[in-house]
Amino acid sequence: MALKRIQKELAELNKNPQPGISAGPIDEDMFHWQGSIAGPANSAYKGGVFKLDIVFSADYPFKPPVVKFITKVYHPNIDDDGSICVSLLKNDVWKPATKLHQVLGSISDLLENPNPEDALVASIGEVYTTNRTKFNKTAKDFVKKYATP
Amino acid sequence: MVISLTNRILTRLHRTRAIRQSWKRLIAATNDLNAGNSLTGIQSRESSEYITALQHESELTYALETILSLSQEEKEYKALIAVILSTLDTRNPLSMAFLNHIIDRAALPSKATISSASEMILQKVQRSKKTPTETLTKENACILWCILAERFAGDLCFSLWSSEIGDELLAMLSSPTENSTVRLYALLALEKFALTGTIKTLILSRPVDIADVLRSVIRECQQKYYLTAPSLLNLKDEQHRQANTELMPLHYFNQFVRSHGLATEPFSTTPLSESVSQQAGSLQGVNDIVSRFQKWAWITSSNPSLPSVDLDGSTEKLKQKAGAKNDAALCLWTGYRQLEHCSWWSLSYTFDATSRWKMGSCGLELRNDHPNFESVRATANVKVGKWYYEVLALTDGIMQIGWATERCHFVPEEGLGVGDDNAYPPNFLPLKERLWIRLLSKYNLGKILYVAHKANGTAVYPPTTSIPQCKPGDVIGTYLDLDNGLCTFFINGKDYGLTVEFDQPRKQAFETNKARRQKYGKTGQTVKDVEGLGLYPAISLTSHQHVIVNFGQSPWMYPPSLPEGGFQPMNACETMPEELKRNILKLTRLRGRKCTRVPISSLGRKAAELSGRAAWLDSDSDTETMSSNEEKEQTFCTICYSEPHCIQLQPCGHDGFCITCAKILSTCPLCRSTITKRRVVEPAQLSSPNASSSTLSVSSASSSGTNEPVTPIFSLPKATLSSLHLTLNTIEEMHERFG
Repeated sequence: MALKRIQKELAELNKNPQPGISAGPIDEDMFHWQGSIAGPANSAYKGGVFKLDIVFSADYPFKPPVVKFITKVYHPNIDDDGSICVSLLKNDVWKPATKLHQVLGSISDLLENPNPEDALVASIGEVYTTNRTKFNKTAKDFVKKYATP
Repeated sequence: MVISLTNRILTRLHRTRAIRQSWKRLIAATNDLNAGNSLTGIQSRESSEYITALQHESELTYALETILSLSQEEKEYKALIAVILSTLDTRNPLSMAFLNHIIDRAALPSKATISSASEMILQKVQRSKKTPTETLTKENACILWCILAERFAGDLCFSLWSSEIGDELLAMLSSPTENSTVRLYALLALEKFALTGTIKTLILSRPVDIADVLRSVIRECQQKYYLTAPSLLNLKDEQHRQANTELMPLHYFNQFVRSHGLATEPFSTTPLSESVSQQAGSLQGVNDIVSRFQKWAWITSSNPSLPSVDLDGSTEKLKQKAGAKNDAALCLWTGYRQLEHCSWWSLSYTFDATSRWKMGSCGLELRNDHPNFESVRATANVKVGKWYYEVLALTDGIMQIGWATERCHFVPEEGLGVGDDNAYPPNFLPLKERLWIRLLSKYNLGKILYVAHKANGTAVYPPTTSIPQCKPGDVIGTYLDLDNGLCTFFINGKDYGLTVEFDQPRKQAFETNKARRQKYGKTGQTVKDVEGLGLYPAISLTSHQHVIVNFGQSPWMYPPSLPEGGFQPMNACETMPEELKRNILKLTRLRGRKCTRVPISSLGRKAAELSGRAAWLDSDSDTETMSSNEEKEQTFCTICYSEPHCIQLQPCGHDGFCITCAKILSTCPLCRSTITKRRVVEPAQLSSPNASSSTLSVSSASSSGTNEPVTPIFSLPKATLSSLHLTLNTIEEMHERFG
C-alpha cells in the first residue's frame, strides 16, 4: 500500500512540479528519496538550494516520513544533524492525507518564517529574536558556504 | 531548394496531382528509410549512414509539410481524401500513421466539405463494385470513415453520416464473401460513428438488428477458422469431434449458444467454481488451437510444393486444399480471428469505441483500435532467474515487445511506449515531427521493436541487422536471463541474433546495497536491501494491431532452442492474489452475461460491488496516460491510491477512503475527529438501494489463497472501466434491444 501511494506522489510531483521544490527516489528504493528546496526569495536563504533526505516507513502514509536536511542550515528550528522541528511531521500531528509536497512546502515556509519560540537550537533562536542583522548575516554565510550549487 | 520551390508553385496549379505526388513521395521516403538504416541503430552522428538517413527524413518531412499546407483549403481537403481513397496501402503501417497525423493536423473542414467528401467516398465505393479495385476502395473507404468519424465525433459527424453509408457498411460487414479486412474495418467504422451518441442510436435502431449481424459474424468466423484448423491438422474423426467441442473458443461463445436457445441453462446459475474451470478450459482451448495451428503451419512450411489457397475464404475450398500454403492460411486465420474479436467486443460493449484496449476475456489477447500508441504491462514481474514468454502477432504493424520496469512511462499521445523513455533524447533530431521519426525508427526494426530494460530503467535494444520482416501469424518469443544479464528474441523459434546484454541487475543491486550499508551502518540503522526493479512483460501497439500472448499457460507454439529446463514460463513467476483472480473472472462473467438474458435486477447489486472492485483491479497497471488517470483518480482512496473509495466516516462525514485504510484509522485523516462508525457508500450511482448503505463489518476480508500458479495477465486498462459503467447503464436498453 505504501509503495502505491509513494509512486502516486512521485507521479504527481513529476506532473505538477511545485515551484522551488523537487523530490524523487535516489536509486531503486522507492522508500528513500532526496528532495531539494530553493531558499525563499524574501528570506536570508535566498539563492540557496537545500538538499533533504526523505525516508518513508513501511507504514506510510499512516506514519510521517522522516525528513532531514543534508545541507547545513543556520536556522532556529533545524539542528546540526539536519533534523527539522516542524509540527506537520510529528507523529501525533501527522495526518495520512498529507502529501509530501505539502511537507516540503511547509519546510520552505519554515525557512521563510522561523519559529524562535519553539526553537530546536536555542542559541540560534535567541540570536533571531535579539539580533536579526546578525542572524541574517550568519544565515547568508551558511548559504554561501554550504547551499550554493 | 529550387526544385522544391517549383514544386510548391506547381502544386497550387494541380492540386490533386500534387497531393498524389506528395503522398507517394512520402510513402517512398519511408520505404527508403526502411531499406536504409535506422537512426536508433546508428551510434556515430558523423557516419555516412546517419547522413543518408537524415536525407531521407528531410525528404519525408518536406513531403509531409507539402500535404499539410495543401490541405488547408476546402477543395484541397476533398482532393486529399480522394487521393488517399485510391492510393492508401494498409500493408504499409506507416501510411496509416501518416494518414492519422495528416487528418489530425489539417485545417478543420466545414460541414459542407465534410458532407461532400463523405458523399464522394460513398459514390466511389458504389462505383467500384465489380471492378478490380473493389476491395481496395472499400477497405480504404472504411478506414477513412473510421478516421474521420473519430476525429470529428460530435456535431460534424452528422454531416459525415448518412443512412446509405450505414447500409453500405452493414452490407460489407455481414457479407460472408467479403474480404475479412474490409469487414473488420467496416465494423470499426460503424463503431467510430457510434462515438457520436445520436448516430449510435440511429445505428442501433436500424431495421436490421446489428446484434444479430454481429452474432452471425462471430459464428461464421468461428466456423471458418475452427473448421479450417482441425481439417488441416488432419485429425481423426473422434479427435475432430472432441476438438470441435473442446475448441469452443471462449466462454462467451457458450453464452451465445445458450442465449440462442441451443441450451436452456441460464448463466446466472453457474457457480463460480464451474465458471472458473470453464474459463480455464476455454482458455486452454484457444491457445490449443493457436498452438496446433502454428505447429501445423510450421510443418507445412517445409513443403513449399503444395498448392496455394484461395484467399476468398470459403470453408469448402479450404477443405479441398487442405495442405494450403501456410502463409495464406495463416493470413486468413488471423483475419478472421481479428474480425471475431472485434465483433465480440462490439457486441459485449454495445458499440463502445471509447476504450483504449480491446482485451480478450482471458486477458491475454490484446488489440488497439485507438489512434494512439498504447502500451500495457503484465501484472507480474521478475527480478531473478530465466524467463520466457511468446507473442503471436495477428497483424504486422508497428509493435514494441519486451520487458519494462515500473519506471517506464508510457505516453500514448506522443508515441512513447515500451522502451521509449530514454531511447530518443529530446532535440537529438532537427525535426518537428519527432513522433514520426520514432515510428519510423521502430518501423525499421522489422516493424517490431524488441526491448529490454536495464535494472536502472534505461532501455536497451538488440542489434537489428538482417531481421526478417514479420508477417501476420508470426510468433515472437522473448527470453530473459536475469542471472547473466541477457535478453534474446526469437522469431518463430529461430534465433536471428537478436540478443542484447545489459548490466547484470543482481550485481547492480548488490553494489547499491553495499553502498547503503556503508552509509547507514555507522548510525546503526537497519537497512532494507534493494532488490532492483522487477521487469514486467510489456507490449506497445499502434492502432489496429492485435496480439495474443502465451505466458506458458499452453504449450509453446515454437519452443525456443534453449536447453531443456533452462528457463521458466512467465506464469511460474508469481501467484496471482486470489482476490485479483476472482475479480478478473467476475468481470469476465459479467461480460458473458451481457449476451444472455439475465434479468437486470439480479445483476444490480453484484454489478455495483464489481464496479468498485474492478477499479482496484485496474490500479495495478500504469498503462493509462496521466490525463485519463486524473478522471479516474476520483474513484480511488485518497490515502493509499490502490483501492476504490467506498467509506464515509461518522460522525464527521468525511469520505474518500477504502475499507483497508478506514480500518487502520482511528481518527479522521482530514479533521482528526474520533471515528465512531464507518459507513459503506458505493462510489457509483449504479448501486441498488439495499447495497448503498450498510455498516461495514470489521471482519477482515477472506484471505484464503490457494497457491496454485496463475498466469499473469494484462490488467485491464482504466478505460475499460468506464465502458463497464457505461455498459451497465445501457444494459437495460440492451436487454430490450438485443435480448
